Amino acid sequence: MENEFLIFDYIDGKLSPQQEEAFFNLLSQNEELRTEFKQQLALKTAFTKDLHTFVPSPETTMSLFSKMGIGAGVGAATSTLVNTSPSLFSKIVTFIGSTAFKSVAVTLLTAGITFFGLLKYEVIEWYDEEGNTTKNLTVNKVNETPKPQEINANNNLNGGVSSDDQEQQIKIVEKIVDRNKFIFTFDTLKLSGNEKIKAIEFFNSLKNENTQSDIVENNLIEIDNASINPLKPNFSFNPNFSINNERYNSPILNLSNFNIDLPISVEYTNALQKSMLSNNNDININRDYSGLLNSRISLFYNHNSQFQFGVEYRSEDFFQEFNIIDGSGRLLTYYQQPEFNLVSGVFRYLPNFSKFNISFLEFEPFVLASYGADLSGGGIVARAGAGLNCYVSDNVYVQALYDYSNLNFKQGDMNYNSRKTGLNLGIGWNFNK
Amino acid sequence: MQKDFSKYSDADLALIISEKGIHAEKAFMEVYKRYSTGINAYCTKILNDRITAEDIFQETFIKFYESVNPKVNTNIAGFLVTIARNLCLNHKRNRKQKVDITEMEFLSYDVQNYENVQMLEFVNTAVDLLDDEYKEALILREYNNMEYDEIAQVLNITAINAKTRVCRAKKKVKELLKPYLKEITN
Repeated sequence: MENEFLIFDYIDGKLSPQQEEAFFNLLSQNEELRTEFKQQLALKTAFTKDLHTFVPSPETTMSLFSKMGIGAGVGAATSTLVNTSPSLFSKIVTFIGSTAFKSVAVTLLTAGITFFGLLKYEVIEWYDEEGNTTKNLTVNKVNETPKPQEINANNNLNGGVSSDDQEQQIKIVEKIVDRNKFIFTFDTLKLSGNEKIKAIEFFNSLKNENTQSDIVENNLIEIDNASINPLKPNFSFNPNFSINNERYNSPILNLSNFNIDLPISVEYTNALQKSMLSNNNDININRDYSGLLNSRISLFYNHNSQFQFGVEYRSEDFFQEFNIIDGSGRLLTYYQQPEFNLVSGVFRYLPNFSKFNISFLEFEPFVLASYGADLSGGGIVARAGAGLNCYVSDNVYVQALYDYSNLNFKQGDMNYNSRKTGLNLGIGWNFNK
Repeated sequence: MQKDFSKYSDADLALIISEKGIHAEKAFMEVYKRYSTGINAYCTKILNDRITAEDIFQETFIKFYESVNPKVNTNIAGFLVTIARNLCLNHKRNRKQKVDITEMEFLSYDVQNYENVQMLEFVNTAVDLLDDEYKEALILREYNNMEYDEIAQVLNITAINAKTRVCRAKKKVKELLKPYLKEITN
């Protein structure tokens, strides 16, 4: 037994140098001890090998962690480790960095292409205003030279038609500015939808306010049935142009003539800046992003001026951290930042009370929420955000959107979360504004 | 910076886990990484039933996570083994352990290569055939890498007694595997 203890102690590394020397002397002199020593070594090796067969299976480990609620919380725990904020200089450098620069470039390029597309097909119409008086009501008489009529916009067209005009039959109404300063140009494009309704309301108001109601109504019917080339430009320029503070009186573009009148809006935005909330400070994943990564295309149904429902497609990346138990039972933590192709349902609320105008620009703050999934099954994403649409013309707006995204994904049986926030800039087109 | 828990001592990990703060889960994962294999081996060999052993194994770590007290449980390995041991004993109270001696028959098969996987099965079976008191001491020593005084603490015996038990267990296993060990040593 004493010799066996000696062997055990040697194998366990418990012998002092002197004891080891004595042990080796004993081994050299004792054949039986040498055999015993070899067998103990073999046994030790066998135990060690046998131990490796007891590495818990990945399923066992995952099952245990699931029971304990560990795993989904790992990402959250690591995200809280992000506690140092970059300096202003590094932020500026980051902004000028390739990803942000590409994003801005793509946004501007897209905006440019869109505007060029609009200019190609749209009728640009300038109009003027002097103080609060608009000179845009032009009533043409049958076989007569058009005779401009001045109407005070604040006076509800009272006195808009002279007594001489009342005696003449109105044939064509070229251009009408109603009391809300909606512009209807009947001689170039057909009216439909809201503009037509507005026009009818306007003519009805004329009906109530002057004696030529029958003639006006006939004119409307005649105009509506007229053969009109919708692509014929109707350029007019008044050198007395001045900025109109009223809605839709954009000095840049008046696209009301191009009225598809579908209750939809389309948008394209590109992520200008994003912050991966789940990203550890000591883990940097640098990828050569293409310019179109982190872009968004949305299509909305305009239920009314305040509520929109739609779908959006996003190509974007999420930082992911998750754990996997490998075949030998080791717990491995993976860090990756793959690209996702997400389709979501979106709800947007643009409260009327928050809308405001600055000069000719109309601003529409909004909040939105969306819920969707990756097309290739990469996970479920929920989003919330707030933003601002700025109409630069009747239908076209630029948009800034800041949103928070949460991606829920699975690895094995475990649920994980990736979160990020980001600023998106882009352009949109509301067809029936 | 992300903390590297692999550099933390058992006592530090126990403290972090007991606080149940934001790092508790990662600290627990480090403990799991260090001791899961040994605990799994202990449960499996003591119970001779992998399925039941898996349940006990999981329950051990759950109980550990819930109840670890850094002031009392400075030796995590010992605490884990104690939990596993108590759970195994509770389970065994309701089950009469039965080891069929005929299992050793396959030891007479001609196995030339020690490296053969079958050899591991022989070792496993030989350990299973030990009396509980020796088996337990051997498992704690060889599979959980515990010191004799730690084994003594878990089994509530003296360190010398623990060492003697381990030695006798090895001797018994060696006898059972004698034909194969001879092959190796020759």
